[in-house]
Amino acid sequence: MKYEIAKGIRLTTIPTTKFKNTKIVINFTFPAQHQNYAKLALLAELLENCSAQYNSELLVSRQLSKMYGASFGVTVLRYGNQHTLQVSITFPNDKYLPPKSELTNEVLAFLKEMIEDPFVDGDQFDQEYFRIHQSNMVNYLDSIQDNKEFFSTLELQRLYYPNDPDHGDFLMGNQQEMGQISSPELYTFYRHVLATAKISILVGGDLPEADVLKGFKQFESFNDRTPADYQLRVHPAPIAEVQRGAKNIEGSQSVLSIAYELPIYFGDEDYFPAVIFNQLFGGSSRSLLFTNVREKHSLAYDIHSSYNSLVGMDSVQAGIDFQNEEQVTQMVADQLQQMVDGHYSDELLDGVKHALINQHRSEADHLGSLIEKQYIQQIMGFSLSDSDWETQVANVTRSQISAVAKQMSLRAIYQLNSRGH
Amino acid sequence: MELIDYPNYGEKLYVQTLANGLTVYLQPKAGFNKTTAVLGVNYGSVDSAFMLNGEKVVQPAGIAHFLEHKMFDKKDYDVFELFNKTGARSNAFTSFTKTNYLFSTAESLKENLDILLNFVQIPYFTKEKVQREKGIIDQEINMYKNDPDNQGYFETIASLYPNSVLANDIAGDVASVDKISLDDVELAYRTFYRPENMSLFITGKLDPDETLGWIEANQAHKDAPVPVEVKRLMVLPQTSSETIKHVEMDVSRPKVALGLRGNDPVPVGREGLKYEIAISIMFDLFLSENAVEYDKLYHDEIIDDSFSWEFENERGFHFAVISCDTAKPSELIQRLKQIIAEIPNKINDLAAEFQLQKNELFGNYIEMMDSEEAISGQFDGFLGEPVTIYDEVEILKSMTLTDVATIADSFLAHATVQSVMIQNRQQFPIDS
Repeated sequence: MKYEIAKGIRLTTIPTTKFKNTKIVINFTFPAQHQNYAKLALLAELLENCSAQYNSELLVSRQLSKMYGASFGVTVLRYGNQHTLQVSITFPNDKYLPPKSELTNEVLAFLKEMIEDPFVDGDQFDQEYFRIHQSNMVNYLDSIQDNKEFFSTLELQRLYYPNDPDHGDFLMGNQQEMGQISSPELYTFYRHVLATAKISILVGGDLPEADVLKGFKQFESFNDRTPADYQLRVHPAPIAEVQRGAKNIEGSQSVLSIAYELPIYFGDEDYFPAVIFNQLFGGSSRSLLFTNVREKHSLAYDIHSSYNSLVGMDSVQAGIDFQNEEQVTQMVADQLQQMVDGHYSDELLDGVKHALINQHRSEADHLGSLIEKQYIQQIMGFSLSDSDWETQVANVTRSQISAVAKQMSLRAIYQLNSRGH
Repeated sequence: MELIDYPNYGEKLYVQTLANGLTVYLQPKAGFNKTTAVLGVNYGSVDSAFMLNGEKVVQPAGIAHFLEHKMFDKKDYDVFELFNKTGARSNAFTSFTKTNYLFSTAESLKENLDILLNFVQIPYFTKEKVQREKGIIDQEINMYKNDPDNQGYFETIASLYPNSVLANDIAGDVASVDKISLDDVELAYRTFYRPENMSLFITGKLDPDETLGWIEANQAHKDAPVPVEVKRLMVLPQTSSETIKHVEMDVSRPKVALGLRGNDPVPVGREGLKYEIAISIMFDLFLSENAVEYDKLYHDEIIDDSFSWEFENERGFHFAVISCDTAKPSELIQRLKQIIAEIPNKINDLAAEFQLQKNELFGNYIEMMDSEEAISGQFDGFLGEPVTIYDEVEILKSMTLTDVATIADSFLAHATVQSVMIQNRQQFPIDS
């Protein structure tokens, strides 16, 4: 069911009695601009950990325990060109709790408190609270280099979008940007986000809709707004040559990351062929990359490809020995050519289709997946019934997959090199 | 089939031990599309030394994990190909004491069950195949070695249990994996991959009678293995003295891990689960975000959100590892030890906090009941009696603060402590 809380604020309910828990997700969204990345990430941190009433991390944590260990989180996301602050909470149904429990109302009041009444001092966040969380965020950003695969993914993304920080920068900004934010500046930003962001609330589970609707109508800041429309799909600017980057580290393994532009987007005619292409290329454990690089040549333990249909990109990552880098790079290119030439068995193709349909049906068993699927369809303005979805997958042909493979154009390579001990 | 009913949660568990010794657990989930099955072998990385029919066998470190990889590799196909045909997802994991093979699927349950049972119960090993796997496993080992958090964890366990099987990573190291021969793999398989040493847990969309029928039919086609007498030889020498091990790695900030080795006896079955839950509550009372001690460490900027602890209670050993990135590694170790030392004196005063913690854990269990991954992941078929999350929640409900205090006393009075600091060259070995 769909409701409008105010202009620009939509509530979607997904009623189901299948689960023993309920999940509420609130998305505050606006166009992605890199100047806001560090600010929104820090804001998420501050909205998650304290409020005026619960003015210490300890009090928030204890309130969550009181609400039967409700899982509460505030995080930042990017859907194509859309920058998102996401507040979410999952909590058990009253049915399984002691008699007379009314957890839903308590949860809604908690959300209202955390979102609308932050821990502030006049026109800024409480200074000590602000300082400690800002410092933790700087440390977190600094620690990303400890996770070699993730660090490589971020560097690859930067190379992929030269001179385009809105898309090339890490979603949480960098240490310098994070360190420079002031408390009054962030508070102003918070007021702006609350007043102008497009808001989409999704509620999944076994809940009386009237209570939910009533609860959200009590949010004082959820007033009419007229968010501007913008294109969600990201189209990278043309480049003259493949972008390359490398860094030497002291470690036990090199990480090779390769990104291709694949200009096919969610909802496009070629969307399903592109999804299947990716599964055959490197997305599944029977893919050409997995079979040839790992199983036949023992060159990697982990090698995989991922397709992002909101930005039109397909990327490959592998953990390998430094001396095999050239060989693996060539093998990746070779497997792509195999995809263009259609050198894979019918059996593999049928299996990949089967697996996608199987996973699609399995998603219905995860409340979080149901909500996420609903939200993606909402923002992309494209939805399919389950049976249409399955038919589309089943109908994908070899020639469509070859046509997709031909559209892959190499755009960036990042090498995190470890020459071993 | 034995039926265990959990009316409070509208759930049921069916249990049947087959003629060949394999125990089957079926936990249907109404309304679910998907089914998850886990075939567990009571065999892990610590089981590399054992007596077989009166003779001592010592195998290279990493053999259990190696065997797990090799099970997927058949004469002219890979098991992933079979699961690819049905569209199921499959995977396998090796831990200190177990090897689990699993799949999940929204269709063709019977076919997938046959694939699972057949690929684990019908091995195909050759010299060439054993050799080829080594390159892949070397890359897996190197991937773990590249991860400082992973290294901190295993270095701590190695310090707690020196000169023992627990001092090795689960996958072994490049040198020990290189030593693994076809004979080793075959002997390990014959010794441990036996129906009576396995359990099959299935949850999700399933009809209990029909599913059991499929499994029985599958097992009826297989010859019973030759009986063997196996005695595991796990020797865990005591540590001499408390140390801080310094490890150099390229990290942004120092990483600290403090390990507590349990030296008290832990009961088996439900009582063992009670012990585990009690120790978790003890840590929550002092080291979760609900604890004043945690709050103080956080506001003194000694810890941040990278802080975590975990408690492992496995066959034959139990330990806790507390870890965090910190600019003040020595101070963190000292403060943690102080907090732990005061637990026995302070714990009895935390009645309200205990109630709150029970509340939270209760809700966490309800949350897990919606997840087939959590239901099957929490299940241990080798405790002598079936204990599901629906049983765990009852154990939790009846837990008192006195229970927690008594168990905490037992654990802490006998525990030995070791620490690890991971630092980069600039931070190393000078310390704040």
